[in-house]
Amino acid sequence: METPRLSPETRRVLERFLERPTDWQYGYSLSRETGLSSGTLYPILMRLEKHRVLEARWVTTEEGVPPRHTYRLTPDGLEFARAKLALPRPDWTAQQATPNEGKA
Amino acid sequence: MTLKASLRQSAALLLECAIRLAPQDTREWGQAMRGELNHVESPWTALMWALGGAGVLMKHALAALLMPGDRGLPLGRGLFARNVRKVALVVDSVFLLATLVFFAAPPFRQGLRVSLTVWNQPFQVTPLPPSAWNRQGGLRALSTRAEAQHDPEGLVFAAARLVDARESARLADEAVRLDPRLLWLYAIVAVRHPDLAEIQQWIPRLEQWDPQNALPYLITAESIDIDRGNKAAGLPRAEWRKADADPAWQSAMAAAFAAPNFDDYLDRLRELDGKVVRRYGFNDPYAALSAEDADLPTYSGSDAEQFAASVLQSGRKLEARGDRKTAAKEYWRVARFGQVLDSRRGHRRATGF
Repeated sequence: METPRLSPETRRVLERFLERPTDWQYGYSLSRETGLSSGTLYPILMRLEKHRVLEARWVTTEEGVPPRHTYRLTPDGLEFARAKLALPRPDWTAQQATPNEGKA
Repeated sequence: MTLKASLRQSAALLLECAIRLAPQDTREWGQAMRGELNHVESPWTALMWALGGAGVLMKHALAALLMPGDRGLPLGRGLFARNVRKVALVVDSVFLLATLVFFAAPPFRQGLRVSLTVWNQPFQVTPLPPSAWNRQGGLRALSTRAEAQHDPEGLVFAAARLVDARESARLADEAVRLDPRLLWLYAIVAVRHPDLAEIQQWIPRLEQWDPQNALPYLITAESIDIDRGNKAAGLPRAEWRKADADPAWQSAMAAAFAAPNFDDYLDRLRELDGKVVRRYGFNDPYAALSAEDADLPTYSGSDAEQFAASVLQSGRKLEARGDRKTAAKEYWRVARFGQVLDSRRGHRRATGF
């Protein structure tokens, strides 16, 4: 599995998923829990989905209302998140300087 | 429609517009944000949600526009945070560099300066500090090149515009030495710098060269005026008034009033300007137009008014004595001189100068 880079914001998102690893979660509730705006959160969600850390599906909640996108950790994603978050938080500037780390 | 409903509707509209403009591969997460919009409790928060989403979609739309080959930044390349920033940085740098290059281009700087100058008066801004203006670096460089190339036309261009009277006179002498047909330059420099001592040598040559023109006589009168003004400095006003009767000044003004035409030679200068500007790539419109200041010498108005008053006075005396024929001649002297000056102004209006 390709591993996306872990920015502090991405770590925060993964931490939320790890709290309820099997639950499907909505973008807006994630936004409230992590304090990230839509413009920050969604690029992270899509990137994690692209790297198969997350899986997503469309859910129709009621007629006439646009469907909602929900997300949860994949089995690989769960393993990845646990491995990454178990490690002490890296110095972000040092991580940025490592060219191959997390590059897809 | 309530404000809350309007805000929600605006938020939805904003996101939908952004989704339409977004690259194909980012529309799905645009739709995902749109789907959440109905579940955001506060309408203001919904608007903020939509703004954030629309902003990031537009960022990708712009990136897709600038890099069409990349089909709008593929999602799986870890590009979101950093690569987009890198691309934006590179694009910004290129545009910044292009802008700087644009500013370095003399025609652009010239155009900008001309455009901004219209605001100088409302904002009471001096385009150049007097010291910078007096340096006249571009004109001096041009005169240096013209001297090195023995180009009398280049020297005329500089001499007619330099604020340094001594240098202006020197260049004028050099230009006339190289090409005696440019003798009219003396009149232009004399009008611009009426204090120059060289004028005493220039005037006889000008009068001989163009005896029909009133301008050399007016320059002579002004020269006499300056001289007597210098002598009268510190004298009581009564003494200064006596000087008005100076026969040399009266004679010069009489010659000016008798002259059949008035030519300030600016047409000749303009004709030559076009050639010099192209030849030297001279790029300063304000310096090029500065010779316009010379135009009709201001003193021609005051001296002419003073002299006309004395002629009219003489006419009235003659009329009072019953010599109406001679009085009419005196009146006509004044009227005819006015016509001569006015015809010059009429010519200028007709030619657009």
